[in-house]
Amino acid sequence: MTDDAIFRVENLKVHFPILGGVLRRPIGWVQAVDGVSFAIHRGETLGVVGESGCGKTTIGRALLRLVDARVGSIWYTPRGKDGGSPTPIALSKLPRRQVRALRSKIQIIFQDPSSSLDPRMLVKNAVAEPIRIHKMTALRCTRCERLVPIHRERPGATCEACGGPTESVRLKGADLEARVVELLQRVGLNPEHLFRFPHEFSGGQKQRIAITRALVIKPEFLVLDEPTSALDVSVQAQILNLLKDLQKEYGLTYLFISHHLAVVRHMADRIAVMYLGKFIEVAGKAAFFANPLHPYAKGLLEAVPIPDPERRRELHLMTGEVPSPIEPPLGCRFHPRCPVALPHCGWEGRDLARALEEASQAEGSPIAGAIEEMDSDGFALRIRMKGDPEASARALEAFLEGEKARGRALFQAVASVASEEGELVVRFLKALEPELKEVEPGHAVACYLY
Amino acid sequence: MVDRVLIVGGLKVNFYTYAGVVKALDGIDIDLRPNETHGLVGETGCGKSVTVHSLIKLIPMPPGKIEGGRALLHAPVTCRTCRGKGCPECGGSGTLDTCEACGGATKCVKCRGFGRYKDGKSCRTCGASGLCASCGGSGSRYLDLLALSAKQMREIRGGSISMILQEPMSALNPVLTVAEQVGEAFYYHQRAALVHGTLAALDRALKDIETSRKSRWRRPILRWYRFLYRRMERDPESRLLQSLRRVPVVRRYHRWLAREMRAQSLDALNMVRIPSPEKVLDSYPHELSGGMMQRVVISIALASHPRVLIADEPTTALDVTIQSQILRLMADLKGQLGTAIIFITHDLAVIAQVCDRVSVMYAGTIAESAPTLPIFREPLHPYTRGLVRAIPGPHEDVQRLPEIAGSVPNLVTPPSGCRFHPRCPFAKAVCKEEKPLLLEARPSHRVACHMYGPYAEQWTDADRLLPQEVVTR
Repeated sequence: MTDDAIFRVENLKVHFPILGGVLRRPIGWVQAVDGVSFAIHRGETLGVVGESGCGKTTIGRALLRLVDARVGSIWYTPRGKDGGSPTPIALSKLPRRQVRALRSKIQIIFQDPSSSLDPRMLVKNAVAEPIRIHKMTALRCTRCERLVPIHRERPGATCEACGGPTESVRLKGADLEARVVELLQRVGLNPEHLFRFPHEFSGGQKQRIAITRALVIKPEFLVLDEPTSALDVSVQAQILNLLKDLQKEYGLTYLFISHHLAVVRHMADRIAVMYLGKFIEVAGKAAFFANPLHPYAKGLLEAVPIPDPERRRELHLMTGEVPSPIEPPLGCRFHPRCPVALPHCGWEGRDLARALEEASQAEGSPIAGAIEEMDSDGFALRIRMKGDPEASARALEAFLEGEKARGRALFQAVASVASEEGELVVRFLKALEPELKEVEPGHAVACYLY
Repeated sequence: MVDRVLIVGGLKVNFYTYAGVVKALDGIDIDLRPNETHGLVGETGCGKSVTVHSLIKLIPMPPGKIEGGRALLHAPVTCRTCRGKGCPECGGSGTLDTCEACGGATKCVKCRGFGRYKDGKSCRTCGASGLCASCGGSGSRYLDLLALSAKQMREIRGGSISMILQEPMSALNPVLTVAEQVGEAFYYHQRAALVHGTLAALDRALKDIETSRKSRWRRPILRWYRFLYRRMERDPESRLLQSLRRVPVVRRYHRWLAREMRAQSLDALNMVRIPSPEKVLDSYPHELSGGMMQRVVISIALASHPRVLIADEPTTALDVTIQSQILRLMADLKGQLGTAIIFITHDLAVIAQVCDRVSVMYAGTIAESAPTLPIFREPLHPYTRGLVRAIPGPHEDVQRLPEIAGSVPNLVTPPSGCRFHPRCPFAKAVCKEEKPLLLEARPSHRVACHMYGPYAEQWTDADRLLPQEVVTR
């Protein structure tokens, strides 16, 4: 890999404990992010899409160390100082105090600006706060006392207005205010907005303030966590355009998190599709939209409504809903909803239990009333019979065979059916989770089809 | 069949707050046709929700106040001669559908259709339109929603007009099971059908006892129940039955109704394609996912076979894959039940996929109203044009999204004249002074903009192009 990666993440796992019992010990883990590796290159925008609860926000927060990884490492390479070669920092192992200093380089913009701004702080103070915390300096002309604009600051730069020499000063007083005004004007607000409180602004304006607040400390990396999903279409267009302009002007790198594929398409250079804590497809924007490979990515793309009444479609809809990330499905996590699943995609006891329950409720089903209890255990399902155990077992076996002959992947995945201690035990083919594999250059997908 | 199930005309709503009078709605006109999905689209705060909430008087009053306008719901009554069985007088339909005021003539009763009195003054009853004010000029029987009493309104809400809200979690009661909440919809709005079903079940049980000669001791009890339910059929609000429900042991008669309620709820959940509905009936809302909850809400809304279904951002809180499932479900159910839908959303892409007609709202006014295709292909109002261009599509690449400059005005001090003029690239002096009316610019395409009204000659063809459009041509 080239060395221009600003972030390199390896096998990141963020799990949240579910506490229970008298001692409040963890009794389970919500596997929000479960083994994700990627790199973000300098100057690009990596878009992360997925449904709610798939862990995309958690990735963004992990990059800022707002949540701690359980496993895995995050390497951050700051821009080398004075032409020196950049050295990667193991962000995931850094002590808290040093992480805080690094946050001047890594910033985040949240979804809802009304809750990310302090309602009791004037805009002026809210925007100046990060400057004070990080003790930011600026270049000031010694002759006309003007500041050099933030994106043109370079050691030895001359004043743009009068061409005089500059000196580095701590930002305070009038300088501080000048810097705040400079950036507020850049995002489209006026100096008259300085002495107002957040509630006096509309949603779009509040988001602009939040962006200013992130920009005043010269970050090089921004996590954009659904920055426009609380905004209206026309305002969304304004904010997206602004973010694109700022990226060009200030040389920023973005991690753009959104559930809205059309917005991601507009913003990102590369796209990562997430499902239940895993990346299932990572590709360049053009390649992804021209030819999405993973069945989930295809379904997601098809589910996006097109703003064109002449292109209404009959969708082959993805059925079902996202399973719980506490005990994600074995094998490929998408297999229970996948329209093209194969027998070795990781079918397990729970899937069969669900299918049998549905089948036994249908009218005139041969297995109606045959099942007393089902107990799934990984790739096996133990079924206790009601009534005459042998007759029920025979009916069930016949049902399984019949379905298998009809070609449903779930039933073709049955490895063995045995009866043990009066219970029927159905075992499945064991399957591993598919790994993210590069099928074409720069286009990786985690699916057994490829 | 009538041509409009709901007529909203000149609806004006103000909110009297400490910060001043918020002129939330300034003359809203909507015509809802039978079996049509009518999209209502606009930015936050433009009055989409206030419009539909004021139709069923759900806005808080005070501070809200409906200042004027009318909202007429088509409401044929059961024919008195044949009691709904069908006779020559009602043309075999069982219902009467002629406006009482004008007798189907559609003319205004006061000015006799001239719109003016002999002395030249405009008729205030019909608003100078010359059409009958009580039926909106359709000649059919309409109910004036704004004039209903609180009690009558309670029957309309969830009955003739029902609603799907944005947040299914807050629409459902967290301490009641799904069965209780779906059943309640049937209990309050489909009592007759429920009692009918219960009586049929009782008859079946009695017949069973006769034929099978077992446990005859239950017969007198069931007969007593049958007596009670027959009474309920005649008088749903019967005092006797209401008191009996409080008496221990005696109140067991209610179980038969409850059983019927559960059966109907089960059918309702099946209709919205909920997997394993038996299980869902006994669960509480928090045990269900967002998509499932929204399905439950839809089944409650459809329980009463409403004439008008208001869907207030029904998919905004859901993921795209679930959104497409719900949209498809609603389209299918509309086909089955023939309900007219008002579909509120801020997402133009959703509008494009599901709606037959669209009204675009801006700052408390309707800017444009037309069938869906023209709205997207040849939008007329400058605001609609900006809006349609500002959506990023999932299937095309643009370097820069065209934006509408400025932001939504404050409705305490709305701009004079056309409320869009401060942001409009075409605005002229007249836009500042006079409020444009919603007029038909093309067949069935109405727009409130001076560029297409009586002042149209002030704009040349070149004037009507947006700067970006000039470049592309």
